[in-house]
Amino acid sequence: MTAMQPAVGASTSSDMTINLGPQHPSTHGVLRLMVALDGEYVKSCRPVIGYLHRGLERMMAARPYRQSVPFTDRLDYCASLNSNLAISQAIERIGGMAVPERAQYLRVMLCEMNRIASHLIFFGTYAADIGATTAFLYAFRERERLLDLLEAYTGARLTYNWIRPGGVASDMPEGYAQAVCAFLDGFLKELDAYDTLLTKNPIFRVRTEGVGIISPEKAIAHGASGPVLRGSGVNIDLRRTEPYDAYPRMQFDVPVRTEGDCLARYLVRVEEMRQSARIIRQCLREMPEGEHWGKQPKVFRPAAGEAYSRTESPRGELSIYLVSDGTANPVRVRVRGPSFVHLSMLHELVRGVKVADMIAILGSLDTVLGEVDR
Amino acid sequence: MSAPAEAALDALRKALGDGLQSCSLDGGTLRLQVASASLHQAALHLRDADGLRFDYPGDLFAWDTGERFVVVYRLWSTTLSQTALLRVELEREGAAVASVTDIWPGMNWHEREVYDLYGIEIVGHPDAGDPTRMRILLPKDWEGFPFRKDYVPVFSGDPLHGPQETN
Amino acid sequence: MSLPPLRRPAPTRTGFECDRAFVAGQFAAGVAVLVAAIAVASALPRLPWRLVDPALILIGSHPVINALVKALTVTVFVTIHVIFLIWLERKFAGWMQARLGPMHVGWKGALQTIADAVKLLMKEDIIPTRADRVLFVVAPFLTFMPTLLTFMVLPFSETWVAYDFPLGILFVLAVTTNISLGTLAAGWGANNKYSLLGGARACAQVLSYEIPMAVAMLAVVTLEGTMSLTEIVKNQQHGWNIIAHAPVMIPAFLIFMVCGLAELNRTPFDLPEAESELVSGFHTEYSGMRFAFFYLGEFAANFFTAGLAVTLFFGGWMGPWLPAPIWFGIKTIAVVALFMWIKWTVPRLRVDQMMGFCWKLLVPASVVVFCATALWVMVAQP
Repeated sequence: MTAMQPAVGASTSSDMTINLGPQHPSTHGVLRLMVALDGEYVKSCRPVIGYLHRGLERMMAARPYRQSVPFTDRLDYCASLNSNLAISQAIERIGGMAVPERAQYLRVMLCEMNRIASHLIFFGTYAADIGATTAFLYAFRERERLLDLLEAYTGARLTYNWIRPGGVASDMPEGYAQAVCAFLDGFLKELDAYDTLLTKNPIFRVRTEGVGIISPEKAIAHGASGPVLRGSGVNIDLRRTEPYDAYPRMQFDVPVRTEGDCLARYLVRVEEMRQSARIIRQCLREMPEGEHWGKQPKVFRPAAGEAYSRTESPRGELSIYLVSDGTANPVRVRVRGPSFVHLSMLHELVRGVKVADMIAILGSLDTVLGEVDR
Repeated sequence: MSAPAEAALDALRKALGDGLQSCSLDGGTLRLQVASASLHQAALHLRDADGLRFDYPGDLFAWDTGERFVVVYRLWSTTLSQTALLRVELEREGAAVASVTDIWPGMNWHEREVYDLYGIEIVGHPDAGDPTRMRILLPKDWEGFPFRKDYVPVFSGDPLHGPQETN
Repeated sequence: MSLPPLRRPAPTRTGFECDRAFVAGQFAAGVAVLVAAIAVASALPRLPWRLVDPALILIGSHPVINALVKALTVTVFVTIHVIFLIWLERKFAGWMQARLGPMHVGWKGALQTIADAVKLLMKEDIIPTRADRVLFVVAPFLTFMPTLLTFMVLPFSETWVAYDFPLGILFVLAVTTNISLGTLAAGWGANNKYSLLGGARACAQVLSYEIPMAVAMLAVVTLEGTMSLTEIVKNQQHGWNIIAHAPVMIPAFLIFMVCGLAELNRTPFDLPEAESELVSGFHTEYSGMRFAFFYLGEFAANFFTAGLAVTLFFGGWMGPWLPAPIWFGIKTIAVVALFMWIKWTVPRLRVDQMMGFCWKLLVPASVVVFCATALWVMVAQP
């Protein structure tokens, strides 16, 4: 490069540094991006996180194991049940608890319902990031119906604290299966319409196709997971590769796209909603009778050791690692959130793109700051 | 575990010598403990050797046992679907560990977090040596490392810029 | 027992406080712009009124009074109809988005806009400390005045037109270009990086789309042989342009519509105020009445562009049974609804795609349409 062309990332007097956030319409939470712009082009971007850091890991480590479940609600607040599942599994593994079969089905059903709710948020906010405001409201209408259903079962709309070590807090209310089926019938029809609104829109396509391409090698080396990894053509879904709970008995497809661009990640998530609906129906159909709650010790003191769970949250691999020293409180609770890892890729993806593309790429990673900052 | 994996582990034992403190296999999970000096070499071997191929940076975190720090690298192989837990124990005084960001770029932020919360120096990290760039979850001017067992929260007078009293 | 009186700290200068002298200055600036506009309007070459002019009958033939009254009427109309348009837009958006829209103030929220306007009027007047104060204050008027001026030539009927200017189209083109001056001033004057990006985008966009829009309008001029908007409507007596000359006028209308959307900064061309990228673009720092002026200008331009489309392609005020201005209103609102429909459906283009679309597709297409119209006039019209 000559002296007239400064290297990418090098700062010149024509650069403009913008702080995108922590208050900005499209950072989806309190994320701050320090962006150096050359006109419309992004020269460098440094995410600044931690605005939502509450020390959840330390707080969980300061209490008995089973009291840490409510904290996980505050990790990925768009999909609390999936976080509940991750911590419950880790605690069950370290304490050697068994989960009754019916509870396993109930868990899978709840997690998939939450996955749909979470992907609907993605669908809506992504459309808003690209500039289409109407899809946002449609997505939230469906999510509202879903949250009503979850509220009818768990009593909460966002922080459920419902999947607990040993099972789920209680069995389904009467007539719940019919209500869920009725919702799914309507939802799948609506989803096709919403999908058409965006997917068949040429402007949406030119904004997302070929933008923010992540190669499969790069996705793996950066530890990407979930739809980001599958959008890059890597067929890894922990519900398949390391199945847990009732997932081994479920028939579903893992959507994979090879393009690796924003559109691929979007399409993977939309297809996952359909597959989630399929899994929920199977759960309701095949759910055995029985207990929703396994036998549990009164005082929970697992032997010294370590255990971890790996679960497929809507955003990717959510894994929780527990270290026990034989006392009632864990030594360390470690939460590995997918959003944290995806956000760490952002600065490489946005280098040299335009501002609008940066927003599109950030949106397609679908980060939740509660999980990033913990 | 497959034959190439056994061969790769033998090669690792030979290469590291005393650096490999323990190596065991339980239920498809490879558990390794290495000396901090051998960490980078071991990590590179784990990623590249046939039969191991731990190409996916699953997780990296630390904990404080009270006497020393334990750093765990959870690795995964996307092609062979196997997990490795690579463990390093560090003395509290001058705890430092080599960066593996050059091996797995995905470890970058995890390493920053380990520094941020435990004060373990990451030698060779792109931002190493500059605490304001290494800090990730806490404000860049934070003093102390709050996940250490001996961390005492003190109220600095400014609730926005400093540790607060817990009770 | 009584509490000791609160001792308040002495007020300190915050940079966000109201400067009385400056408010007066800004009023003066507003009045000056208004006066200048009226002066321009009255200095237009005065024409013999070929048609019966109600204003002429009512207020006599004194040119200055005549001009003043007309200017006032147009200003009041623009201000009032925007209140209705904003309500319509919000209701329309609500209808498209499966919600109700404003419902509480007045019948179905019809008075919501007035409540909002009152709120904006009463807001604190904020000028950022480090803004370029002159530009910051003048910018809202600079964007609003050209829009106001264009209403001078918009024919609501044969007689309901403030100035039946024989070079009406030229006047419209000349005046609307100045809107970009205001947006650029707002973007630069606010001393905000988002505003600057928004202002730069707005300027590039408006200037680029002006060209195909002008060429599409020239196609109509070629067809009609006149630049007077009333003459163009009168020539459509035997069939709207878009029907009578469909092969050339439908493409011309489409180009006009697309460019109109771009000129109005509406999706898919809302890049200057792209919310998800630039927060609010060039008017990020504006609040209160200054913000209202941008809003006013935007909606007035919306109505005007729709009205121009009706005049050029849909036979203006022509229509059976109903009075002419009502026909004009119905048609214009229909075109406005089309704008709204597009706005609430499609996402936003990227800046390079926006420019590429204009220069690579619309400009050549508009030239082709223009040439085709010339041929059409030669061949089909003996």
